[in-house]
Parts: sequence; C-alpha cells; structure tokens
Amino acid sequence: MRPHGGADLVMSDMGVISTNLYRASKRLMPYIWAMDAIRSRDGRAERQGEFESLLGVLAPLDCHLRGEACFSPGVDGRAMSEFLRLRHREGWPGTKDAILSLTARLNEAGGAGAGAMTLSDRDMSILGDVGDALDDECTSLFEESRRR
Amino acid sequence: MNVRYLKWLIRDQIDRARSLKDAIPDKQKHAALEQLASACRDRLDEQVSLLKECCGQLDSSDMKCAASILKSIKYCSMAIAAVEGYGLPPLHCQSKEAVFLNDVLSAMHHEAGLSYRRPAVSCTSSEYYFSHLSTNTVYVPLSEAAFLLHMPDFYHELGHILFDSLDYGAEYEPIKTGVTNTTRAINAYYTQQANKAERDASLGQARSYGEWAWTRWTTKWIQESFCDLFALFAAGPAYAYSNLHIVSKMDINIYVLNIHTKQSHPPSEFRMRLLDAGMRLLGHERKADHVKEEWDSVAHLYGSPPPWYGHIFPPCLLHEIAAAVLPTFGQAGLRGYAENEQQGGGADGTPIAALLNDAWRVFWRDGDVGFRSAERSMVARLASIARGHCSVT
Repeated sequence: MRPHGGADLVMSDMGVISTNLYRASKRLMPYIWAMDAIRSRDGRAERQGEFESLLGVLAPLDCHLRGEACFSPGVDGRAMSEFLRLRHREGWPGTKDAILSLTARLNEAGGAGAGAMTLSDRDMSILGDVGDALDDECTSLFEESRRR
Repeated sequence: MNVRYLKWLIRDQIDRARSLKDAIPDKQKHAALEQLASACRDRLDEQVSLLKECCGQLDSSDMKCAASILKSIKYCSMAIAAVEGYGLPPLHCQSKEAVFLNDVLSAMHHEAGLSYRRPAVSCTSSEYYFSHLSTNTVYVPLSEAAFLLHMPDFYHELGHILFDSLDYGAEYEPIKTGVTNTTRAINAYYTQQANKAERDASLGQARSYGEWAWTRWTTKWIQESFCDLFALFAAGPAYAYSNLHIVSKMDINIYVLNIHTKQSHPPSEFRMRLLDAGMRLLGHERKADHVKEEWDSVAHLYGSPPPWYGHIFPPCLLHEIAAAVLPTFGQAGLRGYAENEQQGGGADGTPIAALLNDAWRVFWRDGDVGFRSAERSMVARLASIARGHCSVT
C-alpha cells in the first residue's frame, strides 16, 4: 500500500476505515449489552459471554497502558487511552491503575470458565467510561468514512 | 415513541443486503473467490440478523435505548456497504487476468508457508496494491497481470494478512515476541527523546514531530515496517527493487511527515533504509549495495531532509526493528526466498519469488531494449508455475 500526500480519502484509506469500524462496532455492541445485563443484576457478572464481551474491549486498552504490542485487530487501545486520559485528567494515574486491576480481576474470574464476580460501583463507572471511549472511536471512524 | 420510520429504514437495509447476496454468482472461477463469496454471504446474513434484532428491540424500548439501536443500525449499514464496496467487485470481475492473479497470490501464500486466510485478488484498484482485511481481499491495478516488476508487493499485502492473523496459532508466538520487542524498543527510544526535549527548549519542533511520530508508530508504522520486512524475507531483493520503482514513479517527497494527518506509512526514505538493513541481515550484501547505488542516484534529487529528521528515524532504531522481526519468520516455520530458492517449488521447480528476482535481473541487464518481450515470456511462465501450484495444493 502506498502513502498518499493529499487530504482526500482514497479507496485504500476507506478500506482501512471500514475494516476498523466493522471490527470495533462488533465489539462495542456486545460490550454495551453485557453492561446492561450486569447492571440489571446489580453488578453481578455471571455468564462467560459477559466476561468475553468486556475483556474483548479491555484487553487492547490494557496492552496499550502497559506499553505492550496488541494483537487484537480493530480496537485502538491508544485512541481509547487518550479519550480516558482527557476525561480523567486530574486523577489519571489512579484511573489507569484501576483499569489494569479490573482487567486482571475479570481475566481471573472469567478465565477459569463459568466464574462469577460482583462489580463495585467504581468498577461499573470505569466500564462505563471504557465503553464511552470505544463508542467515541467508532463515532470517529464512522465520521471519517463519511468524508468525501 | 414513533418507530415506524426506523423500522422501514431497517427493512430497506435488509432488502439491500438480500439483493447483494443474490448478486453473488453461484459459482466462482477460483477457490479463493469461492471463499470470498462464502464470507460475503455470511457477513450479509450476520447483518440481516442484527437488523432484525434491532427491529425487535424497537417495540420495547425507551428513547435512551433507541439511540443505541439507531447506532447499531448505522454500523450494520456500514458493514453492508463494505461488502458491497470491497467484497463484491472481485466476484463481479472474474476476468482471466483476475483468475491468473488469484493463482499467483495463492501460490505465493503457499510457498511462504502461510497457514491462514488465503486472500482473493481483484484487479479493480484505482491506486496501487492494497488489502482490505475484513473481506480478506487484495486489490491491484487493472493491468497488473501483464507486468512483473511490482508483483513483489503482493508479499507486503500478505504481510498485512499475517500481522492480522498473529493470534490464530501458537506457531506465530515467535513473531508476536518480535513485534512486542519492536514496540518496546520504539517506546523506549521515543520516551528518551521526549525526556531530552523536555530539558532542551531548542528541540521544540523535534519534540512536536517526535510525539506525533510516536503515535503513528504505535498505531500503524510498526505494522507497515513488519510488512516490508516480511516481503523482503519472502520475496528477497526483488521487493527492495519494487519499492525503489514505485517511489521513483509516485512519491513527491521521500521525507514526508504530514504532522496534521494520520499518515499511514513511514516516509519512503526510512522504508528504503529499513530494507537496506534487512537485506544485509539476510545476507544479500551485493544486492543491497546495488539497490543503494540506484536509490542514491534518485534520492539526491529530492533534496535534504529537515534538520531534526534524524532524531525521529535514527539508524539504531531501524536496526533494532529489522533485527527483532526478521529472524522470527523462520522461527515460526515460514519459508523465505532463500529457503524456497534452494528447495524449488511449483510445476517447473521455480519458486515464484525466484522468477520475480529474475525479472529484476533481466531489467537491469536489458532495461532499455528487449526487457518487455522477456517480461512477456516470464509472465507466461509465471502463469504455468502458479497454475501448477493450485492444481497440486
């Protein structure tokens, strides 16, 4: 693929955007539905699918926050991290640690198979912010795809 | 809440998806195109299911959920448009040239030892070579089937598909480790540069460009460098020659850094230096010297880089990237140019990469006279080799 110096999007750029949007939105909707289901149970995550849906979004963010390479195509951990950093400007180090800790706990509870876990209000708030970050990324990709 | 219009919108999109599915020919002229057709049908069915779910949710929802449902409808519409724009054209244009190129790419995929996601090819690119990962398709210009000098770029696109598949099998763990080490090296280097710039106000502009470049590295440039190195591993020096050729034809500025954009590739000057380092690591010293000689004769016509360019693309970083990534392909069981050349392959025993390198050898020998007719013969030979591969595999 060759770079393009101009401002207009060409077919290859649109292809990258459409691929990223498809993959990001494919993770966003199950994430939202998993959050809705957990909220309806007062914070109790019980189903393997819920852990997978949450970790499908948290894992690339976790990778980026730890400075590691991420192999989850379609979810831009860096973009999500920037969104969250702006939202939590004052207490970013604490928020970052909370995201890393929550991801580790979800991995432990969900990794063993039919685990269950009760999420605190703080956990739910973080998950809400992470969902907003991916939602923002999907919106950006959608708007980029509409450029002429 | 009046949901009538949204339901009709959903109905309209379902009709569109079904119409696209009906437009897929029943039979394709190549196995890779059959896989594409099957993937397109599955993707369209997936979107129809999601749209029907949205319709069901509309009846029982409040305004807050309706906003999420409308968002879901938009994403489904985009996914359907992506199948229409990138999945269906190869199925509609199954010319003999397209079948030939599908044979070539399938044979390259097999020769390199790749296990997953053999892509389909379409000759409908309005630019150069590019891949569309979610339909697993590679696009090339219309007349590409008649020429050989740019065909090594197929390996760069296979590199994108490989990078996208690194989570598929345990055999790719060495490659993931290489990419992880590359990421760490880049993060370490740019952190150091950022700390230096913090202490030295004269590095202001370098700092802005450095911060921007760091972001580009972690979002796109690591992958592009990976693809360049994979192409070098699989195609040999022919890939470096092909890169020289396309830069000479199409690049206005080999040091380009569009700081206000999401520039998708590192500057061509860096890419050529990375390939130079890679060729020397792989033992192609003589060819590396020749590429450098030809490159230098063209590069000086582009003027000099900006003064802080060297801070952003230092030689040490380039060597670290090449050294971290190149050995991992063999460790993962993939087959490179050197190994294939020794072992042979295809119906007449010639690996495709060897033929592409031969094309470049003949070009440098006969570039002003005779090359085109030699190239035509080699294209015919390539067709035979690639067809032989596909009948065996």
